[in-house]
Amino acid sequence: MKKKMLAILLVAMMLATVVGCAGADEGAQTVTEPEDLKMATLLPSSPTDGGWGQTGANAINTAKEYFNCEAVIVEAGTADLMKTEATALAEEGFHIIIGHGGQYAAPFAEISGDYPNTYFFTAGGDIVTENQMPVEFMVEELTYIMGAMAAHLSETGVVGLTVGGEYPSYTKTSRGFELGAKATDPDIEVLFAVTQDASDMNEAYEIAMAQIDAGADIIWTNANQSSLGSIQAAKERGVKIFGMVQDQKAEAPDLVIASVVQDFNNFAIAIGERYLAGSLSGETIKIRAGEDQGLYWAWNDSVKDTLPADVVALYDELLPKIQSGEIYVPSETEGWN
Amino acid sequence: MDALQITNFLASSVRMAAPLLLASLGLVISERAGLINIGVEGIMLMSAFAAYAGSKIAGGYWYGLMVAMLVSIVIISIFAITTIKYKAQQVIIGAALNMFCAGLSSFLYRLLFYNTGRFDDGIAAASFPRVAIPGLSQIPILGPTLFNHNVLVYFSYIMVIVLWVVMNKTSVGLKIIAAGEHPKAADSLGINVLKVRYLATIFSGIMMGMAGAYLSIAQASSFGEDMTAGRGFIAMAVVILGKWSPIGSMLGALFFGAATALQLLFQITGIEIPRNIIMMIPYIATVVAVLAVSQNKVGAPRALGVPYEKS
Repeated sequence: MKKKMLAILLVAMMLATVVGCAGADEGAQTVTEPEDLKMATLLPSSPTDGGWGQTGANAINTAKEYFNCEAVIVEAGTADLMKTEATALAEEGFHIIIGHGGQYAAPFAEISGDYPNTYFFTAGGDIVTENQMPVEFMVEELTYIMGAMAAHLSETGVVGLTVGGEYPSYTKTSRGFELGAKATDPDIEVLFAVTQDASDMNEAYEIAMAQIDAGADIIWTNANQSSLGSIQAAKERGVKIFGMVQDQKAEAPDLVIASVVQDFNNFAIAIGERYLAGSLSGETIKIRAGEDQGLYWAWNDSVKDTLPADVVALYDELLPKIQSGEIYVPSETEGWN
Repeated sequence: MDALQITNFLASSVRMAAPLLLASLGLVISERAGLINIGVEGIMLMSAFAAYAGSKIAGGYWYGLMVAMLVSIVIISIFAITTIKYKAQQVIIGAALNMFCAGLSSFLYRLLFYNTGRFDDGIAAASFPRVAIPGLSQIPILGPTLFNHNVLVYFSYIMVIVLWVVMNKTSVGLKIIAAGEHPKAADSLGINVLKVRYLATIFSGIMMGMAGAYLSIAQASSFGEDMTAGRGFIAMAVVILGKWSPIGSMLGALFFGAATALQLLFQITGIEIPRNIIMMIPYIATVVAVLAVSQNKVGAPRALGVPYEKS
């Protein structure tokens, strides 16, 4: 009898907890004061990876400092986590939730309609609703230039390209490199590889070594923290390399030619300000190359000074043509042949 | 494939096998003594961090290696005490160590190096350079394959010979095998089974520490969270593939290293096979090989995973 009573009591307590928790958070309430803003970013990788994850972490921390608001970083690298963590944040009343990668688009789309007062942003992806928007960094505008420079500089006619995953926001923007190289030299050989794991530096090292052994004298890796493995291979073999996401010239001061830098800080502040002003609406936010935009080309001056003038001039020559459409470089959301 | 491609493929295979070999040699000794440690992945990861931190802060790769080995000894001691003295479930402790080390390495890395990428001298730490063996490294194909690597690679292959001799030709090896096959019988003959298991486990931890250090300061020159990428578990498969022998482990490690190197080679040569299929090669090869080996008597120590109660 006692055991039965205890069991009933425990079940009742559990039910009371469930009922009590349900409806405790009803989603975000609109705010107009910066300090009341709640922002969150979901990262697919570590916030200290020196690459993609870190740019997302830096952005939310910048926004936190700027607005003096609540801002959190959540690591959510799998589809189930993306959805559950985003749901939890929306339930807790977060006004802005950023998914740092195009892979967040589909999981967010499953829940964004349930939380109309929360704005969901994805760094990449192509799903647009009233309160879900992709941010498209037009990285291919600069990777095309990178490829063109690589083709000009390569003495062997072989260059290496490695990416850290095979999904559109990774491969399409990275293959702008290949387009630029082949537009410059149709006979150039681009050795393309994909790492199994964007955190596996050792694999990236071996891929880079294999590319260099196959004749590549210029390489580029867009594979998050595993890019450091490629840089190590480049250092061992004295091969020039381009950097990505962060300015990587400090890793190989004599070998990094330039880096395509993605700075999400301004973006995070901009969307916070637009939220507070009530001017957010469903749209694709395109970030084009330009220093004030958060996507820019960072020369390594010590290597730049050794390059032929016509190679250096490619940046100023090609960028306007790409941005005007005179040179067509498909973006992540456009068709890819 | 020309001679250069073959040479580069073989050299890459040897390099990729090295961390697997170091870890699996350690596992061979501890498992032969009767302890199964699935925490190898976590210990390697923690050691990789320790090696990077030691090298970055102290400014030298030898310091990094020493720190990695000290850290691995501390962690493996936890495993040894909990499983030998307190007879805790070895698999559970190993799994707990994996989670503990994954969390601790990430936590400490962020604590010490959060501004990664903002060092004036970059993220990279000092790492073991390649040491070409004079004369031998010039031999066509064989030279670059075997004699142009860093010292940890050389050490791993030397240890195969050392451990083969120890296990097959010395009383130490006999005691280790006895502790893992028939601990009661060994005890009755005056062998201190618990002491043998402690020492075997500590040794395995040192080897795992070196394996972790290889990843961060003998190849990548950096640390990344989760950088072991499952290599610890692969090392466990290598032990089974090699039938708990040093030479078998070497062959198993080389097999997996070669399969991985082949996958990379296929990718960059643009072979007309879907990339996702190519990337499965190492894992399919390992599963097939383990299954093939398992058709015969596998050879696992009889008392593997069984705590010993001294009567």
